[in-house]
Amino acid sequence: MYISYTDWEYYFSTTKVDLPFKYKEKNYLFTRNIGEYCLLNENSETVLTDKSVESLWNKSFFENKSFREVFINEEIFIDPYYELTLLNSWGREIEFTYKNQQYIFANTTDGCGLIGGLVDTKYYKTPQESWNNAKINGISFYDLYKNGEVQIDFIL
Amino acid sequence: MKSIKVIKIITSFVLLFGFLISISKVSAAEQNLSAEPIAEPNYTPPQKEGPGGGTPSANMTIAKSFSSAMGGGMRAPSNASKVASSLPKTWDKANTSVDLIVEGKVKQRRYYGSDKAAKQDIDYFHPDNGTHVFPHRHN
Repeated sequence: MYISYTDWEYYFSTTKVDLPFKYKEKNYLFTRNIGEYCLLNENSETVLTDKSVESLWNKSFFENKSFREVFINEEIFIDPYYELTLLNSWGREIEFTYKNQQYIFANTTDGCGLIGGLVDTKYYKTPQESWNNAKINGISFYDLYKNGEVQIDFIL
Repeated sequence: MKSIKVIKIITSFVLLFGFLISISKVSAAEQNLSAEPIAEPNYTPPQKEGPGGGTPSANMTIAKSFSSAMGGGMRAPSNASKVASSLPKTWDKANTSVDLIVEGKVKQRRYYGSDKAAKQDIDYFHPDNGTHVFPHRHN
């Protein structure tokens, strides 16, 4: 995980987050429905639910371990690419290095875009569009990231 | 008859004088009580007020200094530095500025408000295509 548990806790309590993650090879989704925080399993069945995110965190999730414990100990797996896009959508800028050149997924007054290196920056309305269309030397950022060719330096 | 009247007058003066002396003694005793608090069993001191502790007026001063520092892009009186890849979204202490240090330089200064949540960032450098002015702010 790129950000700490306390950051996640902050975002969960202030933002509507759909966070898919894996725990012991099973898929789960942390989400918020009308006024309630829910943890759903891969069959979309409710595993945990509570009106308060604090209470939900402390509920027993697996073998008497609370959801908070498994989260803090980073026993859950969150897709790092998804995490980065989520962070960018919350206004945080992602700085990375690719082939000794520095780049940033920035949020500017012109919009959201990939800046740096020899990239001809195009600005989009949403970070998601910016991430989907980001290319360096004709290769999509997604492919570069999945192939481990990109090093994430800073989450600003 | 005259001597009886004189005796009565003297007696009433004496009584009045005694009365005035007793009043002044009680008043002095009350003043002493209010000056020295009495220790009570299981006495608990009053809880500190305000989100960051301290009195409301002290908190107001801290908040003012913090706002002034943030407005001018300066370090807040309560400031910390961190060598890391990111600064957290919340900080343990309210009205604090925290510097993200990279290679000995301040890359980002983040201001945490009275609720301890990130309020504003100042970015000092990051990759750019000539469209950014440094330093610049983000809310």
